[in-house]
Amino acid sequence: MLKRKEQVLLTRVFRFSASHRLFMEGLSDEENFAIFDKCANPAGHGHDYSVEVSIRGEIDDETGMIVNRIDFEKQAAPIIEELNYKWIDRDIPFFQKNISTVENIGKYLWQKFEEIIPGKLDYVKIWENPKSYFEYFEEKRDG
Amino acid sequence: MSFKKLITKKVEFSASHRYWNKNWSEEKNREFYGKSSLPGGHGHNFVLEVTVEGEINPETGMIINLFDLKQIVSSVLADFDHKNLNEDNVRFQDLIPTTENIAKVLWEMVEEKTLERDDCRLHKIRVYETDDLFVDYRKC
Repeated sequence: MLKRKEQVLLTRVFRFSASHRLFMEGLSDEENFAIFDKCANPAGHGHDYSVEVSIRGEIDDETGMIVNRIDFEKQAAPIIEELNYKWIDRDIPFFQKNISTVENIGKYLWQKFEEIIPGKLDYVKIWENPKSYFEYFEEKRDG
Repeated sequence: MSFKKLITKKVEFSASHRYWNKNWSEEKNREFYGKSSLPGGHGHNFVLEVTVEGEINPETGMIINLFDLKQIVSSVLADFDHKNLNEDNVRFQDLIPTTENIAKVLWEMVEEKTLERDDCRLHKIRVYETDDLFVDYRKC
């Protein structure tokens, strides 16, 4: 048999609740409503988000793990806490320039997690509600 | 055009484990694994998903009868369900039962069984330690 390669992914699911509003600066409430519908409600609205952060790696013989989980949890907590119970567009500088769609939040989280575990992220999947989610990963990934 | 056909069976098992490297001092274990290294271990309601691939048999309309697949998984889990993995499961005598290693061992044990069959091959093992943490394992 050919020498096979192990593929191991460890996925941690984080949850946060936040409010946001989809709108474009400079457009009237009516114009924003025409584009974003009820998501443009001027006072915003909220979701319980759930984010799957998937880490790729080899199982270390000594530790039995693909990543030091205590370090990872410590570094991940502030990334999630920054969003939890916040108004995303107002409280997070990145979203003062980028619309807080689930796509942009997913991309933002990829960048944040990439900083703490460089080169080990396999995918980020973010659920805005139980019925819709966005996935973000490098195209070189198989499947 | 060719298609991949995968079918998955999901089974729960409850077990305890302790993260402990016997070549390390107690301090180092405590520092690296935190509360997962506490002496009595701790338990989870694990969920195992076994995904196999194969062709849909034109006669039965199935890749593998799910009752057969469940039987394979249940027989493998006999050494896991309601056990202390560190003490009761020989596979973890020299291997720390981290979620990663549990997935690896389950892959090896399920694959031993699927290799005896000609209708399916093991595609993937997923082990949920909790709703918030899971490991995917495959060899290809």
